[in-house]
Amino acid sequence: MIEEVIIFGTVQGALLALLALGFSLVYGVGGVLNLAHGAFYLITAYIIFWTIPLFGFTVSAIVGLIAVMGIAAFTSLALIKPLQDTHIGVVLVTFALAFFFEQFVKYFGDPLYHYIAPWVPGFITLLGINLQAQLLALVIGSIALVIVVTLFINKTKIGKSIRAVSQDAEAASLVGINTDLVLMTSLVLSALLVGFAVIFYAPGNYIAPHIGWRYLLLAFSVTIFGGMGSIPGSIVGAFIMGYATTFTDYFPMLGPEYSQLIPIVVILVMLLIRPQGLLGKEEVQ
Amino acid sequence: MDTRTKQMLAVLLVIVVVAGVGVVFIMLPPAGVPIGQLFTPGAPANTPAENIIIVGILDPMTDIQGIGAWQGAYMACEELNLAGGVTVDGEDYYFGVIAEDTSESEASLDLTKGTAAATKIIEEDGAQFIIGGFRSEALLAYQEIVMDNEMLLFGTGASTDIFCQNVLDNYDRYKYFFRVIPINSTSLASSLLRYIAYLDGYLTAVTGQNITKVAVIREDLTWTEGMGAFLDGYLPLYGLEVVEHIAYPITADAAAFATYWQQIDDAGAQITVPVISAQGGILMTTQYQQLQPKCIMAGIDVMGQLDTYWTQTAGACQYEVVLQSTIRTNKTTRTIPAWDAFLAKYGQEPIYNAIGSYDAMYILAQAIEDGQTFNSTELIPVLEEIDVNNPFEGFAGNIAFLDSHDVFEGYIGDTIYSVVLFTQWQAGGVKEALSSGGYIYPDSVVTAQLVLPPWGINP
Repeated sequence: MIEEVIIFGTVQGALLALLALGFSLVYGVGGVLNLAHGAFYLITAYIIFWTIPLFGFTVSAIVGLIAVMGIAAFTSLALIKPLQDTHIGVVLVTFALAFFFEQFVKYFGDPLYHYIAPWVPGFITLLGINLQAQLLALVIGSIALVIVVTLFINKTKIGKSIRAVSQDAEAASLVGINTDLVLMTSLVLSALLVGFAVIFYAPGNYIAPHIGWRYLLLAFSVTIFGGMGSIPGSIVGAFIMGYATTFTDYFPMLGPEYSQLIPIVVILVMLLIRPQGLLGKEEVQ
Repeated sequence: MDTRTKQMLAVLLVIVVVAGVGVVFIMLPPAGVPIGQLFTPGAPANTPAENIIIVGILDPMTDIQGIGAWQGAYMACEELNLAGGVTVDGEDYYFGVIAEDTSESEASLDLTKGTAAATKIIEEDGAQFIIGGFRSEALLAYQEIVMDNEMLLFGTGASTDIFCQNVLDNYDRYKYFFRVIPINSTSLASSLLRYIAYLDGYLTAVTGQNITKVAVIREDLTWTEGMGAFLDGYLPLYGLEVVEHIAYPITADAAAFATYWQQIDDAGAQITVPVISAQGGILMTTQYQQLQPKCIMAGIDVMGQLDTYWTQTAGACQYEVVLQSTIRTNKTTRTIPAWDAFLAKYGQEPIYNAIGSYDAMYILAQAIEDGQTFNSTELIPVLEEIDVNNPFEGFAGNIAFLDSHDVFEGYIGDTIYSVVLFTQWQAGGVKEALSSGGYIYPDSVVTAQLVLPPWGINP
């Protein structure tokens, strides 16, 4: 059982890390609770699905990434920025955007389920366990992207600006950092990560108009668990949640029917004993 | 620009975008079935309105079940009208069909949509008889409106036993309900059990292995709970051990299914029985092909019944055995001609709702002709005469109503009543009817032998 929990928990954790990292980053920078985060996954998946017959997977994936980054930039400039002063305004407008994309794919596509074939076919055997090669690609891709994003935030000028704004937006503004640009960059980076989550995870999976909500919920859960706005917290939290879910699947007295309940229990316990999350900072009132 | 102006501009932008998209939606042709419009295909152009028998179709009209039910009813309507309609008291009457959308296949079920659709189809559209129903929870709610109106309701989608139990328990109120398709949940579970028992013997004979280990994988939904418990309880009586029983959340995705197949293979299952109606079937099937667990998959996978499944799964469904009400085989003399006609007309194979609504239209026409009335209450004894000794030869089988107004399941001699077939997706995307060893249906409908996956069966 240990081998299965390690391997499949790592797969779950890799997916959750990709989803939660961007969500946490945007919250950390601008205090923006982007409820269209899951919808970014949805629209990217559908753009890729619709364009595969025209261009093949590789070009479609690039088109999907460009499109979702464009959508994120538009969302930041046209919808979030004017309402940024009111948190509830941002929540409402991103919530509306998520509904819009759900209906959009339903009307311009259909309400049915569709399957995207894996671009890495076959399976490999690890520790005696058969694992789809596509899921191994997800793990490798996720780890690589997490490293790249961490380096980007720590080593580049714009990355340092992101950190500065997340620590104190007002002070950052006073020293000449364009906070609007930083927020837009964060949202585009977040969308890029979601786009890569689609590229690695949607193939071999089904898509349907409602899937965005599930991925939003996953990102939200991990971010609460890891600490709102904490990037290391999101990464560590993602893998802990991944292992907890898989352990639940395998533990004889539990089983898959509890796999959605156990992570929620973990979050509740975390909120009770450490409300700021695993690696979140306690706010000084 | 001050903050207030920016906020106003943002709101304006949202309104413009929403309005623009709205205009595009309005200009697009409507998706799914035309709602609230009466169609009288095949009827003479000058037929007076009072000579049109209006049949209402209630189903989720933007989804495959409703679209299928509409297509089946429409095709039957056209055929009946072209054949001259029905004659009552020396006057010719023709059929018309009209649809309302119950939205009952939505994940978040809103019962009021079904009840509103039922009210509208009766009070505004003027339906005299109703065909449809797919999701039991929804049908339970809106059938009450149909019963209030003392109107015949032909069930063509929901399998839950309760609808026909209602007829037995409260005949005066629920006598208007007649199930045409599918067989009820109890019979469905029993058929599945009998097939697994047959498969056990067949595999033992063909492989030379001792086949005793079965896994059950099902959606964690109410309708599968009883069936899961039934299999757990009865399979051991046939010498089979349930080595793994997975009830997964309906939102499970690819990573989750990889763990399920690993658990099944680790347990050494030789037969895996899915009990699945939703999208999980796609992942179960595609990962079966990718991970190649050493077992054969045979059971209920509703999406696997669709002719699009081969394409949807990129051929991964090869070797999967799925329970299906009908395929192109000679259940009755009408099955193959009706199947071919449907395929020619719509370019796709009929799903069970389509077959059921097609048969329901013909049963209604026959009852009206025999009873010489349009009154639902007066038609009930006429319909009750359609029994095992006097079945209606339909598309789905020979339909015979029991006292509960449910269909009789099984076969007697050469007469095949309402039975499910066990079919297998085989090379090239063809679906074949397999032998059930006579346990469920006779071998006269069998079109091919079972093909085992080349990666073998667990020892």
